[in-house]
Amino acid sequence: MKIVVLDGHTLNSGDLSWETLEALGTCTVYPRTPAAETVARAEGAEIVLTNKTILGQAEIERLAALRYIGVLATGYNVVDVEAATERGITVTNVPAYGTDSVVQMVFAHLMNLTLHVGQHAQAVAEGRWSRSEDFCFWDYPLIELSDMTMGIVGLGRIGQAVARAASAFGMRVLAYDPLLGSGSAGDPPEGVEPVDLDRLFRESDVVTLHCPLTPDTERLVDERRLRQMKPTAYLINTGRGPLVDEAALAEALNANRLAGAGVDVLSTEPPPADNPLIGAKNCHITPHIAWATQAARRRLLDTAVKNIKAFLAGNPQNVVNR
Amino acid sequence: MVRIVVLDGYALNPGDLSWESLESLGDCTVHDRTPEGETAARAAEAQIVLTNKVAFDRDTIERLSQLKYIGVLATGYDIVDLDAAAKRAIVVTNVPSYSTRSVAQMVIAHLLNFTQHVAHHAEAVRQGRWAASDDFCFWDCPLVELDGLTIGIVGYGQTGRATAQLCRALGMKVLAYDVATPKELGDGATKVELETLFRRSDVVSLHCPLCDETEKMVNAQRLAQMKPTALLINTARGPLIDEEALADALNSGRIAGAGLDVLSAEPPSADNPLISAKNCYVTPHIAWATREARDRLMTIAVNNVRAFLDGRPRNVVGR
Repeated sequence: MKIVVLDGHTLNSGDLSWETLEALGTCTVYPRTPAAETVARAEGAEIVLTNKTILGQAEIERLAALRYIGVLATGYNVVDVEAATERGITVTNVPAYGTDSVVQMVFAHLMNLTLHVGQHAQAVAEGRWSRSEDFCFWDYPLIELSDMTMGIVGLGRIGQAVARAASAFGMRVLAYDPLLGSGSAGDPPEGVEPVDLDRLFRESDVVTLHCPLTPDTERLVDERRLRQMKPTAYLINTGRGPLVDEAALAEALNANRLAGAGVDVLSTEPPPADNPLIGAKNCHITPHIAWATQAARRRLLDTAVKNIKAFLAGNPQNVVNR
Repeated sequence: MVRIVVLDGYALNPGDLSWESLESLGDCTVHDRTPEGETAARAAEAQIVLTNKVAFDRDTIERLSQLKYIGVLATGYDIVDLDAAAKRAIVVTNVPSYSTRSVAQMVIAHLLNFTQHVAHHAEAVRQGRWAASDDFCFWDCPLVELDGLTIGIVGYGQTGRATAQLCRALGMKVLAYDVATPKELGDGATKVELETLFRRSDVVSLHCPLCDETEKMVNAQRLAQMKPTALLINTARGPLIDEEALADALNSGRIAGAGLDVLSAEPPSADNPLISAKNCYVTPHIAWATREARDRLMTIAVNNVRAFLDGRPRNVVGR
């Protein structure tokens, strides 16, 4: 069995082990694969694993031996699933491995926006406290979350976990999800008030995005939505970059129509140097790391290997083919 | 008319709150700050003084013959010599619990700064590091998931409990130590001895008052009990920690990091060993200072004065 990992570096840059995968066949792990080399490297492999390397119709049609594509992520828009299905190729993803880590990242961004620990610590390291007249100083307004309103767009597994944590902080929780109130998936978790998007953007002090990226949700946060937000509000995006119209968000931040943004994803990654959000006022961008705690990456690798074992045993799991 | 002097009002109200409700209670003078040598002179005629961090030791108290009331503009009142005040029948009050939620939030802010380093990574992105990266992501420090880890809370009063609740929401297990609390903590936390707490916790957070028994309670011996991967958080009082010993432990990698909002002297001297210690993140005593918390503090402090003037003092501390 020939197994090729096209871009293993971000999942395991050395702090995890590929051993369990190597036990399943002849395994080649590339740290990264440029688009032009995808076919040459995957040639002859029955099993290919990819994180962000694209396997479109063109690649899939040329890979005659291919029987299985394992996506090393939850979102699988890097694979043309339809083309794969037509060829009888099984495509799997790794759901849910990142829930706890992503929730933690939402609050890490929120804490950074409200209390600025990193920036104040830098000021103290530079001697500012020692030179201060007072026993304390602060460079930014300090904001207490208790009694503020959190608006959650997308109430799936992650959105629900964010809702529970926000309640623990004493926040009022609003949520929008197209499935809310529709039949069996309908009941919102305790303490969560289901609202439409207009109310959510108008009434929230913090808006956080947890919906999948689809044609319907692309640029969901556009100029109109941003104008509905309070000037004291924060936007947090740990979902997918294209959910936000980046030029419109940069403009809103630079014009003080929004108090700040905490963003872990951009429309292109890595971003071009002139992405308008890089350098926008009160915009704090982390380089897509919410998923990447060691515990989460270990779960991801474990599940990816189990997915292959299940496939080889004839009862594939986490299949995303329709 | 009663004379009221606020000795160091700037920290509580740098301009975004109002002194009006206090001014309505008497002839009121608000100083932004008071240098050590001038306390007695400024408070000489006052029946009521309010202080945040200006100290009232025995000597100062004995020299203030008019003084009837010291209102501390904080929860911790270690700046007042309570015995000396009691001997002169001076009522001392504090402001409990105004900052509970803000301080608990600061504990989480320090914790998440250490596990995710948002500000550090955001600065790296601002400098173009992501745009120049080969990959869709990069990180400079280990990223740590809190789910399943253990926090040990020293001092299980209001702030300790509020902190525990937030940590539980992030999936953490809670150990607690408290001299006063009965066996049953009532909220799922496990009560343990201090040694067990320091040995078993991935994060230790201090929430006990400063007194003779707790001064330098985090010393070389306690630090040696901690895991090398553990984080120490102090949002309570600086002198709870032996700062030399902590700097040593950090610089030699015997513990992984510290998040501190308080130091033994504030502002600190430039050579405080923690300011330059490895993996030590020091914020300038701001946990109490959210606008919402300061607003509550002002309201309670004024109500304390009013209650005292009405002959029914409240939030009285000491014997």
